[in-house]
Amino acid sequence: MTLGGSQDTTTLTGPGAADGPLVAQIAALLREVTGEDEQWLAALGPHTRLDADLLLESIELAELGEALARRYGEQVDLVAHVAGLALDQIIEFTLADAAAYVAARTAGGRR
Amino acid sequence: MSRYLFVTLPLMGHALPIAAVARQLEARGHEVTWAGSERFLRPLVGPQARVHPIPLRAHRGGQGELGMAAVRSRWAGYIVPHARTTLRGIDQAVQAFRPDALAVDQHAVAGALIAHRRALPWASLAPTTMELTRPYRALPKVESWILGLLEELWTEAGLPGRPPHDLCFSPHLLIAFTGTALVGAPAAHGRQPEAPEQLPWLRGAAFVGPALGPRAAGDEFPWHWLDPGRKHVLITMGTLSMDLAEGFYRRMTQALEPLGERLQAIVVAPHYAIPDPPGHVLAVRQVPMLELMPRLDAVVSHGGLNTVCEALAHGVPLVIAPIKGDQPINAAQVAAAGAGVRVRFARSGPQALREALVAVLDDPSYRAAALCVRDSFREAGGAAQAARLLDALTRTVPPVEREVAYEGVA
Repeated sequence: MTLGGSQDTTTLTGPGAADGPLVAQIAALLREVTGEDEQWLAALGPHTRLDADLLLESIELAELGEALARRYGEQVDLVAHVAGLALDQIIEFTLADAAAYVAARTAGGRR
Repeated sequence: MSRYLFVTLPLMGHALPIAAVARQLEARGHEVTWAGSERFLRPLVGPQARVHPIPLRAHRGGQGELGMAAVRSRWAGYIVPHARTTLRGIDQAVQAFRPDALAVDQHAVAGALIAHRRALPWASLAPTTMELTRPYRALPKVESWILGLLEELWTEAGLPGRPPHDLCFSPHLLIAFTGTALVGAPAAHGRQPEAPEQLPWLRGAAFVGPALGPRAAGDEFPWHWLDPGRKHVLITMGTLSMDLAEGFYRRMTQALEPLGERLQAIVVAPHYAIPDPPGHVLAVRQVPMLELMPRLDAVVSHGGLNTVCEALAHGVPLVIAPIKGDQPINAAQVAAAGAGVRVRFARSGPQALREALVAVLDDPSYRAAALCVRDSFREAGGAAQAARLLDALTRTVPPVEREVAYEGVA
């Protein structure tokens, strides 16, 4: 299933705008990092857990971290943030948590 | 002649290489006793071997779990309870058998505790690469949680103070069943590749390569089915992953579908996992792995260290779809060595799987790299070299040189 071919990452194709634009933006970056398709992206939501649900590997997490730093600035360091979490928190870490972290690290909170 | 007590876990992938080492020690005239489940060990160690029986208890290992949840259940649900329930039996085995040294699986922590309690020299054996690169050192709270569990076990065993080192690493001897051709590759969470000499806890470690030994005879393999005019691929996702691997088998079967002209695939899987296989795909419950290897052109695997090393020991390149544990580490190391391709277990579709397999079959560089690893394994010495090192352990005062100091526990 293709939803209008290749999309700019800012276009909200997967998680709707109601989930918060940051969650959707991070989800789109995540799709780029993993090389997944639109159908995969469409299934992501704020409660999707990076480790437990997506089985994101450490290399992919690092790539997502780099993508976030490029987009939101060097003050956003997702790998360092996750490295500071306890095991249970890493397991439960969601897209919404990632969005909250990015929001807290960027000046205006959101873009 | 020296006496050795062997301690491992009731897991095939752990016990197989360690049993090969025990056999070599006996061939050198030493005496070996095992502390563990008679029912599990007997088929592996043979009718003559001495086993000090410790009843097998079912621990919730959480085999169905993935990601970091698998890390939690590996330690809290398996390694720690296993250490608790075997501690007494191992101590009794030491008192009954009076060994000169212990050979302890890195994850059979009770063996390390008893070696400390009885002040015996001991070796850590690493049948997986899980601990070798200490992959969680970039996640300090995860690593300190693990070290905290080891500290609890230490105290429960009646030992004073805190453990003087990470109990997965004996200060006397560390034997790993992998090779230096593989170890110097990607390691910790989101970190750059590191060479083993950069990792202080691996200094002085012995990388002996795979410890291959005879296996219990299994089902008769239909050798006549193999067509010498086509290439041969083995697909095996490990003994513990059958339930997790159903989707992977389905995608892999689709990947194989159009390749019948050029190859035959042997898939180690329950028959229900591959309903109605095409003519060039054979689903079998088990294979005589070591006899089959010389006839293979590629192996598709979950990346368990035994399968990876057995394939590479025969110069066979791999496609690896790692599931958990040390498998992602092994996959990254094989890819870095150029001896295989890594795919995604949970997500790679039929086309990506087919492309990876065809690349490994068609591009001679993968085979060439696999042959290089094979040669390095031969030099490493395998089970015989491990036995020589254990032999030396009881004849010399064990040097405590490697930096295995405890760090990270708050």
